[in-house]
Amino acid sequence: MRAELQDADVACVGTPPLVCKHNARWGASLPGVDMFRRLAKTAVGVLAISALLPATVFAYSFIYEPYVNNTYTYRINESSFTTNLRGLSVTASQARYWIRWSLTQWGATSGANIITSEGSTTTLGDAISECSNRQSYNFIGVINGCESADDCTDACRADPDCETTWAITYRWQDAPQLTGRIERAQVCLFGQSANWEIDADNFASTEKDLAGVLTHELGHALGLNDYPSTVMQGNTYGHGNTLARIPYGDDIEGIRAMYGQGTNTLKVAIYDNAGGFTWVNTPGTFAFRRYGATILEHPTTGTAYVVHSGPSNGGGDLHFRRTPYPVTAASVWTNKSFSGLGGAWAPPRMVSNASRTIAVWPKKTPFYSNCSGIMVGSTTAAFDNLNQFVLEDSCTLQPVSIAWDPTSSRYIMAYARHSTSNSVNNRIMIRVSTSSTGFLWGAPQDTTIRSSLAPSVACSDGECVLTYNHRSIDPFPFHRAFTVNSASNTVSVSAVTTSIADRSLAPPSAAGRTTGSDVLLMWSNNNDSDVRFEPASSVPVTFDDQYWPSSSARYGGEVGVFADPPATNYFPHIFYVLR
Amino acid sequence: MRLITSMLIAMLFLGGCAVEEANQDISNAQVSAQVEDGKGFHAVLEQIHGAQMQMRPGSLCHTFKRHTGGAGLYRVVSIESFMEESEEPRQLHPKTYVKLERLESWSVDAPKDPVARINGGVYPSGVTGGFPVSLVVGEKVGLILDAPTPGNLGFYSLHSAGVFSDRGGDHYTNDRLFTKDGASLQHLAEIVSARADLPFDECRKNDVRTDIESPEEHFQDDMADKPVAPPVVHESEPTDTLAD
Repeated sequence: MRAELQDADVACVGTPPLVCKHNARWGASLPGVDMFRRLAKTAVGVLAISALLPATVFAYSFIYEPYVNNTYTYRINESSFTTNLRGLSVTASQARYWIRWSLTQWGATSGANIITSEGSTTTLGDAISECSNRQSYNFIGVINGCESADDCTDACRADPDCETTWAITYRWQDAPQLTGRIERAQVCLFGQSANWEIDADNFASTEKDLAGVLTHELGHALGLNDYPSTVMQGNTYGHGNTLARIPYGDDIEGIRAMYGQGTNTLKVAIYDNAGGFTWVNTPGTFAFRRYGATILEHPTTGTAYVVHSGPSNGGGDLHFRRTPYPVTAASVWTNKSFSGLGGAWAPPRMVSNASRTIAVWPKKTPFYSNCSGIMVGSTTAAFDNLNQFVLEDSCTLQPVSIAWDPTSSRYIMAYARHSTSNSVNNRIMIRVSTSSTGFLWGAPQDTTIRSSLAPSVACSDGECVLTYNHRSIDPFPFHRAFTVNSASNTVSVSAVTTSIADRSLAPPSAAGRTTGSDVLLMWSNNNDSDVRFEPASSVPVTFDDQYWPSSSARYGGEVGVFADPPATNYFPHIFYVLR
Repeated sequence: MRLITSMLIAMLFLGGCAVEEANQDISNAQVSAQVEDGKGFHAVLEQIHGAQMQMRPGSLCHTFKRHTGGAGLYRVVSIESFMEESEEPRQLHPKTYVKLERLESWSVDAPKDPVARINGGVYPSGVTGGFPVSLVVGEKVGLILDAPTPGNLGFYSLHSAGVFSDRGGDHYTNDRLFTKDGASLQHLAEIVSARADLPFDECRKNDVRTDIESPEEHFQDDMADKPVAPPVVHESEPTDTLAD
């Protein structure tokens, strides 16, 4: 076995005993860039350092090549989750859900070409020796103890200076001179090191967010190293918040750099008004990703377009792909890109009314902690141009939903607020346009409803519906009706909720103007990522009225409606990206 | 399959006793036998990357309290991995021996030229990993060692909280303390030396705490905890020049 490979990342020479040198792969191979990034965490640092760094420097670190076939297969020690987490009662299915949820965020936010696969349960992972010694498969478990006995004392838990390890991931690499791939990752949480919590409501300052820890450790399991000012910052994020649940910024650049950008097929289902749906596989693949697409009607010509959107990798561009309706296998998709928009944390979402199309997306900022602003763009459905402006006092990292209410002639946007204040974090905020143009908007209205992922709003001719994943350990899709007051530009959200007992991995989607004025809901089923679809007004809700088994919509999708002639019939459409 | 070292076998028998003598020298290991299943497989490494931990950083005094093997400036002389039989019967896993040369003592109990036995190493297949710390042969590191234990066969050990590495330009940090600008070696030596031999309560009176800035401290959250405001107009209307 003679080592041959020698490149910028890994160098090994000789026959065993191997002499290997691993060079950490940084987003930019500049000496001392890590220190620069640390310095740049202050406002002064940004100004002082930015001139020294190339414009495209990203802050992340990894040393591995991806798993074989980009596939991370893991097994869960379910019983260790149900018995070893101090202060948190979690069932096996809930534990499995939240592991899957945290892992899903890595692919959903980045579009990286990661494939995950769950194996059978395991009993490994509840002892430190099982974690630190390489086993024959990847696993995730909870140790009924702490790294150090001192961690397990109340005095240490209460002392902000006391060293405490919440979790650790041991990793192994395939022979660097052969493939250099990450070969094994063993994730262990120290179950007694904290009081654990998941429910985002009344998250106590003494509690540690299990979902955030899982997202971080699964980032390690996928191959990323610790890095400051990201979800991969290993040594901050104290107790009492849920800020580190979803990758952002350079987390996303890092996982893309390691796994590459996924190319996905957009699936479209069109209701044929004869009681069934017809699926269309769009030709080719899409270099940008997530969620799905929507239908927009050109306000003047009446031409309809199906539009799919996303931000570019790291840059400030937004990309749109559109094709005239209806979608067929022969549809030609046209690319339209807009530069100089400052980038986005998530793809834009759009809606059309009779005069224009409004797009909204969360404004990307250099550091997530400066997150502030929702961008609003105004265009036609053909995306000939895109005027945009920013609402500065809004903050979210997830998609912003937008709807047009024909009753009040107002646009409504909704988002899950990102905040350091746990008393308001994850609350659904709603803004209403102050006119029918969508250029002027009222202040954010705090619904006080918390959501574990981005909410969605939609209006039909007769009703508006807010749908969201509940903030609890069982994030079932919930929906509530609301009305829009065009005098005060506020909404009144019903206290009556309807839920669907089906934990969703992805933000649900809603769309209006269907036959019978129902708002349609769509979500991704927990167990097999089925697309599920539901009229909101069905009482009782029969959530499996329409669904597509094994439809691989883990990242969710969007539901849209379009009025085929005659315009009195509005047909639902489902869009999602295969994953 | 590679080779087994008699010295390693000797060290296994010496676990828990005569620490200084037992763990001083693995470089004189002698080849004595060839064994099955990779036992004794030996690999020499130039650099290792540590496991990733999610943790709350401890202050310097807490680090002293937890890692009690002495402190000093050391040079990494060698890093060598050996396949060993683990605590679990008939299971073989690599352990790694880090030979260190003391350059300065920062505490009275800083051992001279210790060998640290740590988790992880190289399997006969070439699969490498499982290390608790990151090190490079030849580098100078400030160390707060973990004391020898019978469980570690009488060897010293290393925890990432006790490893202060140079991030470039004489900026030392353990990624918990001095994370912003690093500490110069001289400064680090002064700080550690002034506290390492103090009782915990005395040390705490002049402790060194993390300089990691929580994201919360930088978060621009103008709306936090404010009452719901009446709707207002925030933006001027842009010129609508769109042409259909």
